[in-house]
This record gives sequence, C-alpha cells and structure tokens, in this order.
Amino acid sequence: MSLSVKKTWNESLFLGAEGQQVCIDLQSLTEDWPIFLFLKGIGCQKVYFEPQAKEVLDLWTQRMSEYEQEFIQDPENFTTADHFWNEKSSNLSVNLIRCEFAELQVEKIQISLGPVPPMEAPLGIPEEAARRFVEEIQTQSAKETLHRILQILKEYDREARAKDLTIWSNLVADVLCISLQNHLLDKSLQVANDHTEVLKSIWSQTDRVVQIFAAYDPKGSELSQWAKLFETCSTTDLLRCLENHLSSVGGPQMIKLMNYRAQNQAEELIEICFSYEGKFTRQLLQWLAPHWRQKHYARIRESFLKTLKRKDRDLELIHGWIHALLRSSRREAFLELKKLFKKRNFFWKRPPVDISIQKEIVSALSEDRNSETYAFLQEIHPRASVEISNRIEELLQHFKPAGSKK
Amino acid sequence: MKALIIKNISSVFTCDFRLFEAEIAALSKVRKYDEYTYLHSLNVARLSVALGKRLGLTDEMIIDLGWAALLHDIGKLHVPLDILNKMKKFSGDELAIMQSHPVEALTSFAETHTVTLERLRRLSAAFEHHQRYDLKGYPIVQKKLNLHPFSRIVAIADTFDAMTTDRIYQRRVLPDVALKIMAQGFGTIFDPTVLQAFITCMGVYPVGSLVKLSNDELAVVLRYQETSTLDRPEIFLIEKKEARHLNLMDPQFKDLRILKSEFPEDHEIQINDILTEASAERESA
Repeated sequence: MSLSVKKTWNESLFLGAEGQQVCIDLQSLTEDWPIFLFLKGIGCQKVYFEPQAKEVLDLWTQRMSEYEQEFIQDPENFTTADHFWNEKSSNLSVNLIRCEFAELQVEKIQISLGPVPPMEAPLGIPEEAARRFVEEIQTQSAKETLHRILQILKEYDREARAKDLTIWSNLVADVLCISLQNHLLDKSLQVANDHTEVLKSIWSQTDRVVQIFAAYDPKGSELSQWAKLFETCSTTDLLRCLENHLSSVGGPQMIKLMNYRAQNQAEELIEICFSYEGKFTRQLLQWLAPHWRQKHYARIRESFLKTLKRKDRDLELIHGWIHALLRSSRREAFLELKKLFKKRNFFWKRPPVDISIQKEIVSALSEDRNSETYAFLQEIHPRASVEISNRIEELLQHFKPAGSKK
Repeated sequence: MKALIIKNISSVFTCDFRLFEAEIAALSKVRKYDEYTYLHSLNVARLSVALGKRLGLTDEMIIDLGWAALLHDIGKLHVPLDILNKMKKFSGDELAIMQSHPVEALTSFAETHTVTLERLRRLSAAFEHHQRYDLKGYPIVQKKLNLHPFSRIVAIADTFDAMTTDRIYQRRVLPDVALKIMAQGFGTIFDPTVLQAFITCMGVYPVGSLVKLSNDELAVVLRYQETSTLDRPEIFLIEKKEARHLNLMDPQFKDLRILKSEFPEDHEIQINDILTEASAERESA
C-alpha cells in the first residue's frame, strides 16, 4: 500500500452540476485525498463548494497546501483560528468555498504518558538503508561534531536574544578545550577566530586557563599556529598565568607560549616592558634578556634610573634592568654604573648611593663573566664600600683572565 | 522529583544515571518550568528510542539518542510562559521568541551542563529539530549542514507527538491521519528513509487506534505481526461477542477491511480498558 497520499484531484467531484452546491463530509471520508486529509486532521468537518468555485479552486488549493506544509513543520504552534479557510468570490460577496469546523471546546489538556505504539510492523525500508543510517551515526567523528557545533555557536552568537556573557564565554572556552583535546588545531583556531571578543574574559579564570593550556602540547612545527589561539591572552594575562599556574599541568605550555612570544614578538614585549609599571616587569625582563639591542639603551637607562629613585626599592627589578643595560650596550652600561660607585668625599653633600644598589650591581655582574666586567670591577674596587669590597675581590679572583698577572 | 524523573526515563531506556546527573537536573528544570514540555519531551524520547531500536541502533547510540530527544526542547526554558502557553494567535514578536527556542537551547545547555564531546553531540537535536530535511526550516543558518541523524529521528517523533496530542485550542489528530499528513513531507521536511521506517513500523493504524470496519463494527488495533500488511493488523472487537480477536490477514476475513479511525471519547470508550480486556481474553483462551 502506498503511504504517500498521491491521489490526484478530480475537479468534477467537487464542482457539481450548474447551480448545485457540493458538500464533502470529511468525517465520513474513507479515501485519502490530498488536502482533505489535512483538513480532516485539524478538525474540519465539511467543505462546501459553490458552483462557481472553479475560478477560485487553484487559489484555495494552493493556500491549503501551504497551510499543510506549515502544519507539518510546526504542529505545536499551528492554530486553525489564525488561518483563512474559506475562499470568497472576486467581488468578496460570497464564500465560494467554505470550510466548516467543529465547535472548539476549551478543555483541560489531556497530555499524559500513554504507551507508545510498539512499532512492530515490518520495517518497510531496505536493510541496506537501515545499515547505512546506523553507519552514519557510527562514523560521526569528533571533527564532524565540532564542525557542527561551531556553526551552532556562530548562529547563537548572531541570534540569541540576551546572552549571559559569563556563560557564553565559558561555553566557547570549553568548546575550544574539547577541540584541542581532540587534536583538532584547525577547528580550535576557528573557534578562537570566530569568538575573539568573548575569549578575552577567559584568561582570568583559573580552571579554564589551566584546562586550555593543558589540553594540547604543540609540536615545534605547530607552535605558530597554536600560539594564534592565545592572541586574546595579553602578555600581562600570560605572565599572571605563569606566576600562578606554572606548576600546574598547563605550566609547560605556558612557558612554550611565552618563549614563542619572546622570540617572535620581542619588540612588542619590549614596548610593554617600558610602558608597564607593575610586578610583571621583572618577569618580562627575564624573558627579554636575549633581545636587548643598542637602540633600546636610552629607554632602559631611563627605566633603570626611575626604578632607582623609587622609595620601595625593588632590588630584583634593579637587577633585571642592570642586565638589560649590559645586554643592550656594555660600554655605555659600564659608564653609567660607574657613576653609582663615586668615591665619597668629605664635601660631598649628596647622600651616597644606597649600598643595596651597589650590591645588586655587583650581583648582576657576577653573572656576566668576561674581560670587560673584570676591568670594570677593578676600576670600582677602590671606591666600593667595605661591605661589598670583599665580594668584588672574590669576583676579581674568579674572573681573572688567563695569563693575567694581577 | 529526581526519583520520578529517573523512573520516567527508565521506561524509555536504561542507562547508568550516575553519569547523567547534569541531564537529569536539566530535565527537572524543564518539568518545573512547564509540565507539558516535560511530558512531550518524554513522549518524543519514547518514539525516538522505539524507532532507533527498529533501525538497529546499538545500546550506546540508543542512550545518546534518548538523551538528545529528552532535551530537544530545553531551549523552551528561555521562552516566557505566557508565550509558551498562549492560546491565541502569536504576534510577530511572540512567534519569533517561540521559534528562538532551538537557538536558546545553547543557553539552557551551557547553564546546566559541563561541556563534553558527547553532550555537544546530543545538543545537535535541540538546535536542528525544526530545520527540516531540506534545511528550509528554522533557525535559518548561514552555512547549511546536513542534519545529524539524531535530529532527523527527533524531528519526526516531535511532529508526530505534537500532532497527536490535544491542546487547549486544537484537538489532536488521529494517529493514522497524522502519519498520512506527515507523509506529505517526504524528502522535504523529513528524511525519507527515517520517515518511511517510522510510518511502516507504526502500521497504517497504529496499535491502540480505535477503527471502524467495513461491516460498521468498531475495533481496537492490537498488534502487527511480521507477516501482516500495513493495513491488516490483529484487532479486537469492541462489541462483546464470542470471537473478538480477529487477525485481518486470516483469509476468512478477506472481505473485512478498516475504513477509518475514530476518536475513542466520541464513543465513550477507554482504550486502556479495552486493551486490558483483550489481554485477559487472550490469556484465558
């Protein structure tokens, strides 16, 4: 038996002899006429066709077909009261086609958990078709699932009425994480690119940050692609991650990212270093050590002197700036540092340089063994205060160039 | 409430419920919010799982499908109740809000679940179940993707349940009529393979239908056997007489056929009572 209602319209059934109205009683209908079945289904009891209905029949059937499709697509939101069931004559004076519905009775909804029909009848499709359907489910890969979800995320971003930004950003971050865990770097990049703004707020959330970093350990060849995922993670955020989560499972990847940035975006980091005044400057100075050049010297000097003047003496920071000075221009650095070892004079009204700064200078130089350092230490030794004089002597012994007599 | 929900779900499929705490909590939220949506979701899950089993899905797939179907309307948590239960015509804005529930499924999902790959897979049905097989439904998407297999099953189950459920402003459609109407959506609204399977598994007159025979008698459809054709099931006559169980495939009944289905309440008949009677008679025979 055919399951699709394919009977074709026979107009003569509905358009009676001249002057004769035809009434189709849908409730006693036993044939599956298209449209009539739909009308019967939604509660229409009778359809009346006036003799002149032929001129409007096409309009009416077209509209009924559209309603039928609308009903099939969304039966939950379809109400008969919202639609036009009759078809009027061209002068709108009389209904040439009229649908009669049962009187609507407002009753309590009877929805309940009744038994589901057992579905025991023969399957009715070839075994091969059923097998292919099952296979389609079986072969749904993580990649395909994520591809689908990424489209959904995009549509959600476009269409959702009132997004809670926290929930939304968490969701995007979690999808990013799953993508990485499944080694789908391309898909991960897509998430990051599609939802750049949303991801910015993620980097202050401990759990997710560690999760994202721990999700994937990139190979060398993947580093540049992987690093792009973190474009919304500012250097400050990254440094904060390193400070707080270095020992976590994501720690190694945080270091990888910082290394990558230092190597590939050194100038940007240098700018941040100069303009940022905060606790992360110390860390940045460490990462930037190999990247200082002559051209940076003036600004390093400025930052160094500024740091010296601060009341809250940050010795570690001073140490970092000294190294930066030396890396950028050794000659100029030594000239500058020498000023901090001026011999104290009875008439010298200005207070001497804080001994702790001199100690830091010496400490920094102890990590910088070479002949220039040796010469510098020799020069400042006579001017050094007692507290550090011994240390300088030790270093001079240690740094003594080969073949040197003294 | 959790115990009741687990009991309800257990009648649909079995799984280790400890692994689905978030899903149960989400379903609990749905039940608290709107009873109709909850019961509808259960019915859709039952239909989906029954069809899935007939199609040969594995136990693991059935669990996934079951949860996808149970939560397919989770987005309705973000449709205001006055719109959700409106009896009169929707305004343009109200319809837009109502039709946003597939998109809002993501909000509900994110609020109630930790994200895993398996949960993301099940989310597809919530987003796609109104998109149509030909992708001309809603939500309208910029990049068209073929529907997930679960979405294709859930869409059919959802439509059938919605059609065959009474609403305050609309009487339900009889199951056999619903199937024939749905058949108009072959290849356009519904996956033709899945729809064909659904309709034929049900039989022309689904089990439990009250039908009128060509001899004017009323009967209830009891079952379809492997050898039954789709319009000749085993039936049980309403009228109390000696032989009430009839197998329409039996040659002695070759001239007897089903004319149409009827609403049980129009004849003051309780189908469950009739089915109980039929079962008792069979056992005593």
